[in-house]
Amino acid sequence: MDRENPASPSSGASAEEMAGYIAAIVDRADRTAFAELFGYYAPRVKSYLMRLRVDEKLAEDIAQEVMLTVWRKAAQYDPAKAAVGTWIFTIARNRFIDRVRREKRADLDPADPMLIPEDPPQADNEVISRQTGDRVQAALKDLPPDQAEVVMLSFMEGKAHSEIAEQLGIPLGTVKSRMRLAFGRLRTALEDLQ
Amino acid sequence: MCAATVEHNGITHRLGDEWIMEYAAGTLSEGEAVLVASHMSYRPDAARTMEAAEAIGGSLLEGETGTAMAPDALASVLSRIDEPAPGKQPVRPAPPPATTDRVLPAPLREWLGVDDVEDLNWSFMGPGMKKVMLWRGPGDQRVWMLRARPGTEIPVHGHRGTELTLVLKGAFKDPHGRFARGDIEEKNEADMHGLTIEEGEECICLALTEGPIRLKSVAARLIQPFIGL
Repeated sequence: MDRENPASPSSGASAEEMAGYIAAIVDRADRTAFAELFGYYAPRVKSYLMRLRVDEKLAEDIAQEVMLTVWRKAAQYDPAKAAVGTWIFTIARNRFIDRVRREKRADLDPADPMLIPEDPPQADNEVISRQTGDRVQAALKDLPPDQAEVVMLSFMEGKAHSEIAEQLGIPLGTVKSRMRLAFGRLRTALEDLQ
Repeated sequence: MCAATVEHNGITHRLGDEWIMEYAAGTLSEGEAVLVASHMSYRPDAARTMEAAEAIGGSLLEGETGTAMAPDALASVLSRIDEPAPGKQPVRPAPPPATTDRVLPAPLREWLGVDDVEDLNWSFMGPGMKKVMLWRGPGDQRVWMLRARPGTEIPVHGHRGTELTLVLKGAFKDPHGRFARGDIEEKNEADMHGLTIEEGEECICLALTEGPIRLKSVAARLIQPFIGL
């Protein structure tokens, strides 16, 4: 989990910068801002896809599509909901499911009137979501190795929980409980923000 | 796996967080993702929980070292950006009016391309019961819906693998409790169970099962070839 990466925007300022580039695309179709996002995220998306065992040519192709979607859907990015990296992760994940697995993903629609918000909207949601990224990153680094391992295999290598159980030679129930424990830790790390 | 915590909107039985994480990671089968997204539609904590789970993916993406893109990649993408600026749009479209009484939750409607339960092709399943098969996938997973009249008794049965049952309308009871709209029950291989539909209202459930159901009674097994489950 702990990989050397000096370019990582671990500070709130960089996460803010990324959100600023998205705003520049929305406000004035700013291609320079897009180039910044592209330079930072496209290689990461490509790496992620290759970890999912997509060959390099297709990974390149999908990474370009993901970045094109970032441009086209920039106005849909809601800084109060997620960090830019999280938003781009969901685009890449969905594109992978669509193009590589050729499945139709059932999407949870945040505009669904059936979804009753738990809490009234907060004024400083944007600040919270920016801090969320940092907190999650810190909490992930602090996970016990057995929890970090299953989280990594699931999110970055695209292994189903049953496949992880098989690969590690542990019961499925153990994979599930490690996942829940890891999520519990992240939740605790995020609690005092919400 | 269903924590028995009572929520203020009435959801009593929730899916364990590991399902939400797997949905966020994108590793669930298509059918499993339908069940999870549909269940989350009823949960007041859905947005917050999903955001936290997806933030794991975002954070790990940030931590990637990166693989060099083709030298002309940026130019190639920029050349495809030939349309006018995306422009500011409302983040969320205005919700359609008064749809909270719909039986099918939004992710299910969108996935099926169907608006209402009456648009589905229901067929006979047993006394007081109808079913419709929606999807078959790897590992012989099936997504289907059950529609049962009030008071119907569903015979004791079991499954290979995991069984998820999400209530879309009405309620049923089994030895594990009472399951009403939005509640989901997760059962594992060894769990043989029968259930009773509550009186008063029909019950509609979305179910995910692996392999054919295993009926306990001989009489029920005799009709199994005809119900196709």
